[in-house]
Amino acid sequence: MAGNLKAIPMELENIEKKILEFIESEFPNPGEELLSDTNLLEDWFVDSFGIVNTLMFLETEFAVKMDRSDITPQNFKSVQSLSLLVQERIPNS
Amino acid sequence: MNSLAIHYLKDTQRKFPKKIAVRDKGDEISFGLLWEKAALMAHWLNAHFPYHNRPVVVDMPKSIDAIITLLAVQLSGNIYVPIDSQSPPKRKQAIYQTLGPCITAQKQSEEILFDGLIYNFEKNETKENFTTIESFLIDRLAERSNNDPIYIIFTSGSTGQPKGVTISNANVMDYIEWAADAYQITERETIGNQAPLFFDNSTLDLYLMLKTGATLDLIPAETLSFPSLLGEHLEKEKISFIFWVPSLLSNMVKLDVFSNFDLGKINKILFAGEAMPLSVIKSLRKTFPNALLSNLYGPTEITVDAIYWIFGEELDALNATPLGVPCANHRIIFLDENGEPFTECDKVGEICVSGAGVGLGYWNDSGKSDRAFIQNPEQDQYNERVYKTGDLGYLGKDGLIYMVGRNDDQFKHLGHRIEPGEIEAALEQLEGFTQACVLYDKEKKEILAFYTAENKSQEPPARKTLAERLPPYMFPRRFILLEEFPANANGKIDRSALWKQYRTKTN
Repeated sequence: MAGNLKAIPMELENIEKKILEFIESEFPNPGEELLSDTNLLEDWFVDSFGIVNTLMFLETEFAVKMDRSDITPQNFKSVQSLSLLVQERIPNS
Repeated sequence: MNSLAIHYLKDTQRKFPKKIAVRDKGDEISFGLLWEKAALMAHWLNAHFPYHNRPVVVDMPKSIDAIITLLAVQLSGNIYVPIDSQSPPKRKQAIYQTLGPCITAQKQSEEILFDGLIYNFEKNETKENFTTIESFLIDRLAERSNNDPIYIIFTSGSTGQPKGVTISNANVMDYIEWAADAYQITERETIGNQAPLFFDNSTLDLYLMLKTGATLDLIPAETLSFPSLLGEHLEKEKISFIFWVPSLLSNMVKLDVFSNFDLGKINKILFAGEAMPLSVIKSLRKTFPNALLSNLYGPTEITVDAIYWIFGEELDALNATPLGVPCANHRIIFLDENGEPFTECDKVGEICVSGAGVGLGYWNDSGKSDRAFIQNPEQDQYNERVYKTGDLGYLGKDGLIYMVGRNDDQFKHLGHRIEPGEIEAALEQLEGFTQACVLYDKEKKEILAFYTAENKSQEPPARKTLAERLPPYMFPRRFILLEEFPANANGKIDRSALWKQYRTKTN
């Protein structure tokens, strides 16, 4: 469509990939594979740094501002739920 | 006159029988009922376990029942030992081995088991003779001295064997009398408790509640891990007083959570357990301009804290976070490398604590006790035990004490005191692992485990393997397989060379 300057929203897949890479390298879990639906809170993070560092990463990497009420167990459940949250917060200009 | 810490509750429940003492996830208990339940349990304990001064391991998650249990243990004339119920079996075994003869209290659905014997709150409550039971217990306590132990708290040991720090009633009471006065605590306070019972910071929250009639709100673990839930909790529960580890406060500040909630009730913010960045204190000052901000310092061995500072106007001009000045009834002695005391300003030495908080030593370990609790090197005219902390610090020209590091490898992670030796010992017991060395990255707050192995492609251990030996807060964040360790002239691992190698590679 000529003249349509609307930015292509970032693919969910790409967001997921970046978050997966970040969590795997920053919070290695020997012998375990991180999947997009792995339960981060129960099976991955061992302390609150997991949540805090991931949040800071999301804000820098995707240039989004998370609302403090976004930091909920539901949103931090998996890479999938985090990706959806990021996609929602990326401005569609 | 009160000689035991449990007498605080006896008096407070008379003054405020109906006032809420403890709140936990929708449950609550008044001072009157707390006293009654603890007394009935103590009475039952005396009947079934006719001991005196015996350790009772409280292997229960933080809850109203756990608090009733540790009060009952005191009332029964015994010593409570709060342990991390999440602790791996091997670590619990090591603790039991150190304790020797003891009793274990565990929770099973609605009942509490003492060495497997069921204590059921509902069934065992016979109120008919409560006054008789009460006076019997109090009479029996009269035989106890305030120098008798109140609790044993286990702390990381460098050889992998945790040490049981033994604290007396007098130690705790001196600390609480000081704190209630220094921080002007009354029954109007609502304390938002973060520290687990097996971490001695909880002593302040618990005994301020018992002494003053303040309400103790046990913040659930799930809430503590989510900054926004924690903000919500503080607002909803109208928390006025918090004594938290710096890493938790730092996270709240980093994510700017506090400003999102109406936290006007918070008027006292205390922190201890690890170094607190000055920037976080300055930022707290902006968010809470009228709240009291205080840094505290002290190892478990001297009863929670021996040095404190309440920040005033000088905060803006500070360049480093001071530990502050000694708490009442305490004195700090600095020792040089030869163990000689000195008084010069700005000279770094080992911080040594003298005074009313100095504990009774390590349970069943006179060797370690004698090395850490020594005769005051300032004089040899009379017996006086002082505690060598292993922390290095100095007295500044401003009259404040500052800390600069350790004289060994111990580090603090999320407020937990960790000996790298404990993690190293656990790793070296794993099949295929030959040697391990654990370092702490203070900036990134990461535990790093370097290891050598029989096999050049030895994978790091899975978490479930680690969980058999170490509590989760000791899990290394990163594992680095080496062909060999850099060694110093004595053939020992050169830790600083190893750190330099790692920094060069990662930067």
